[in-house]
Amino acid sequence: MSATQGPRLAQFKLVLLGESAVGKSSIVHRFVKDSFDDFRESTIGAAFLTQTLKINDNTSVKFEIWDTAGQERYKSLAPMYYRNANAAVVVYDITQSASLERAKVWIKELQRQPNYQDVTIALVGNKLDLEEERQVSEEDAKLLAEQEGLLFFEVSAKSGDGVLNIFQEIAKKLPVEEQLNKIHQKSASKVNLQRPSTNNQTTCCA
Amino acid sequence: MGHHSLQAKHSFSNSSTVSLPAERLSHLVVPSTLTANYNKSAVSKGEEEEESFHFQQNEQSNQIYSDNATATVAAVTGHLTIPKSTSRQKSLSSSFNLSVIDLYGSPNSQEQDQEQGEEGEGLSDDYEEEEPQQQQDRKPSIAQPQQSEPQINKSEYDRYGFRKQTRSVTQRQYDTWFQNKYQPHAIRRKRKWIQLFSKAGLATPDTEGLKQVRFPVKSEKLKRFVRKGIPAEWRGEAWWWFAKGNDVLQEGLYDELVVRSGNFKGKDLEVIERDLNRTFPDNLHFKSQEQGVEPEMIQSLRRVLVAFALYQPSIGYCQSLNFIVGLLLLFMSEERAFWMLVIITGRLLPGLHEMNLEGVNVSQGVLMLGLKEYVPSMFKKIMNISFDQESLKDDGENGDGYEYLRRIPPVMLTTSSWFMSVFIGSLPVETTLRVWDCLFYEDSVFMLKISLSLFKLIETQITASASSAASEESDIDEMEIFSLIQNYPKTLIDPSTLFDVIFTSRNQFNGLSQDDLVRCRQFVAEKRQTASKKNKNKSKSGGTDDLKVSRRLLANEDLWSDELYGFRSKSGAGSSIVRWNKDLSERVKRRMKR
Ligand SMILES: Nc1nc2c(ncn2[C@@H]2O[C@H](COP(=O)(O)OP(=O)(O)OP(=O)(O)O)[C@@H](O)[C@H]2O)c(=O)[nH]1
Ligand SMILES: [Mg+2]
Repeated sequence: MSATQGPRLAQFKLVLLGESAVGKSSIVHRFVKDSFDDFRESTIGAAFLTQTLKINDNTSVKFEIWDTAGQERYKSLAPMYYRNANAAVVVYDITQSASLERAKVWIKELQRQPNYQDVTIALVGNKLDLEEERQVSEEDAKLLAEQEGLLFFEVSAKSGDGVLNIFQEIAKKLPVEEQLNKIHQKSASKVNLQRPSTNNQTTCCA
Repeated sequence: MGHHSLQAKHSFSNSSTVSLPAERLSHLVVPSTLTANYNKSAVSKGEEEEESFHFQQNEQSNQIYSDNATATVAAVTGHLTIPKSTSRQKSLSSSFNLSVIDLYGSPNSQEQDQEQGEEGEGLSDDYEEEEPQQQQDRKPSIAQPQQSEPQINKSEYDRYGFRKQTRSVTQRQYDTWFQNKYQPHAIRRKRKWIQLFSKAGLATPDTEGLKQVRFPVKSEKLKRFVRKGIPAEWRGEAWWWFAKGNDVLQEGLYDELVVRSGNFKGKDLEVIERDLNRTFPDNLHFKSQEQGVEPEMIQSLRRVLVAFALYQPSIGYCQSLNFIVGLLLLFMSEERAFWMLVIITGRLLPGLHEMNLEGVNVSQGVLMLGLKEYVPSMFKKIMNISFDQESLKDDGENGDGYEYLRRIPPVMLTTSSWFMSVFIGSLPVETTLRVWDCLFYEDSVFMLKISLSLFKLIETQITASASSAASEESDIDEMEIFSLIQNYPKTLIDPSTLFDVIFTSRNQFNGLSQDDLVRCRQFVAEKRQTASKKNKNKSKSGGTDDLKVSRRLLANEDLWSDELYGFRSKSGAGSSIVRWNKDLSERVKRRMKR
């Protein structure tokens, strides 16, 4: 039962939020497939992807990613995916100041969630390659992130700049050890589960 | 999977300037009629005439063909011409012909297997009989070189202009399946359709100069025909006919809306613009062939979407409508696509695209009920991964065991797009089209049947992977389930994989009727409504809009009787009454007594 045997894998749910066309799907695809399309189909509902990131020699973090549709009305489906999220990436487009306003709304929405304290949130300005069209200054967005206690990044899904970094930094903030310990407990309790008289199962990470 | 590094920069510099016109254009020189026709309608005329000549010779006896040469050509080559809305004549004038490749090949082939057992009237309601294998051998057309062979489309693009290769299917897989299986199927079916029209004394949609296309009256036989696929080049007419387009069509209104949309402003407009180039970016007709020149298809798409936003303010624009309209436009005029959108969003998928998307939640809830009844193992799995025991217990104040209708499990996020975009993108193109064929003929209950069938197939996949993992009660990983639900349907290039489940394996849900669906929708809406009322008392956030839609869905409250939540199998099918959920009816009875 030693905690340091073999490769260890912690799993976390991550959700991407933000206005339509800011590049959420593009960021995920850069992270998961290391590719970019100039024209990517708009997301309907939500898409599910996973990617594993090695954080040290024997520990990896597996992200279960929900890439959501950005249009405002899709907000009504949102509770389904952020109910149990461990991390949220709120994306805006640095060339569209309106998209930062939408990002603020998302942040507020997340703050209203009961498990807000346990959620790692990153504010991400995308399309950094379009510097000449920039409408949102780095300082303003950074300030906002600081005030709200969020991680902050500017990236380009197109060039790939900074994308991996988002997930690495988030992984550092996630309660990896805690979860790995719980998994131990869980697999221990699973044996009991086979028995007929299972009562109050401790609610696990999931 | 696993660890990887992001060596992004150069991968981009290699691939970014993708829009290189030269590269794009080179696709167009691919030697297929598809691409040849794409830019000019003037196909090598000579070839066509030659073909029609053969055709005439061989099929003289058949009245349908004797009309005129052009009609015959259409029948043979299966041209799919995009009709234009009258008012758009100008902007679309540059002959935008989408042609199907010469799918049907030499008419000889058609003669050759005229023989065999026609669609016998006595056949069961089943989807049944994909014609027996040995038939294949009697198909000289495919093998006989000196006749005009059906062209093999070697291009990267399918007959509708979609890239054959997707993330889930390779071009090789596609070509093999299409040439060996689907093309022969389509040829057979087309021939049968022609006979069907002939028997009914109707001119086929291929008939030149036909004012009003008519389809035979609805019958079990026709339903079977539709289930086996409508010929691609007839789809536009067939969908319009079966969805009763003429009943909603208001002459001239579309053109008027297009004119008025000149001064339309609003948030929707922006969202539409953002989606135009993200609609079928892999389809030839939707991507710009020349830098800076907007494809006509994109212009049509914009007009229809804006006109619709103007016409239907309770919906405006909702992401997913772009795909629906995009697909419609491949088969019909702008005006008809517009009215079909009215039908789809209003009658077929009510509430699904409205501001609060409550219709999506209702559809998901109905699907959950369906799973519980017909694919119980999947239902259990979903419940297990979605709710821990605790939270199900404190189902609490509602205490009716229907918490999953109020808090739709996250898994169902992957299925929301099934409904919202009517399976576009969730299923491969040809399979999607087959679903659409049936949807317009059989109404929206068909959406539920397809969804349940998909879950049946997914269940099989899970069982397979579980038994290979050697532990029978192995909790399949939540993520695996998500991935399967999302990705497995995308691999179903052969529509029969899916259709066989509904129609041949005698699944009970084949007997579901539209009324059953309507009752279920009402039941779910009611459950959700009580919840949002309660929530509203508890907290102030949200809820109001949900109520509005639910109320509308519940408009027919007098239907609310003991029977209404019961799925009843069609009478006469000989099977016993399938109770939707006995447990549930008991509860409701009790509730009503109180
Ligand atoms: N120049 C540039 N364009 C980008 C970048 N990231 C995304 N895009 C483009 O922006 C458009 C929208 O990107 P998506 O990834 O589809 O946006 P989304 O946020 O997923 O949008 P929804 O699915 O509608 O919510 C696409 O045309 C992308 O090619 C970037 O870093 N730089
Ligand atoms: Mg997206």
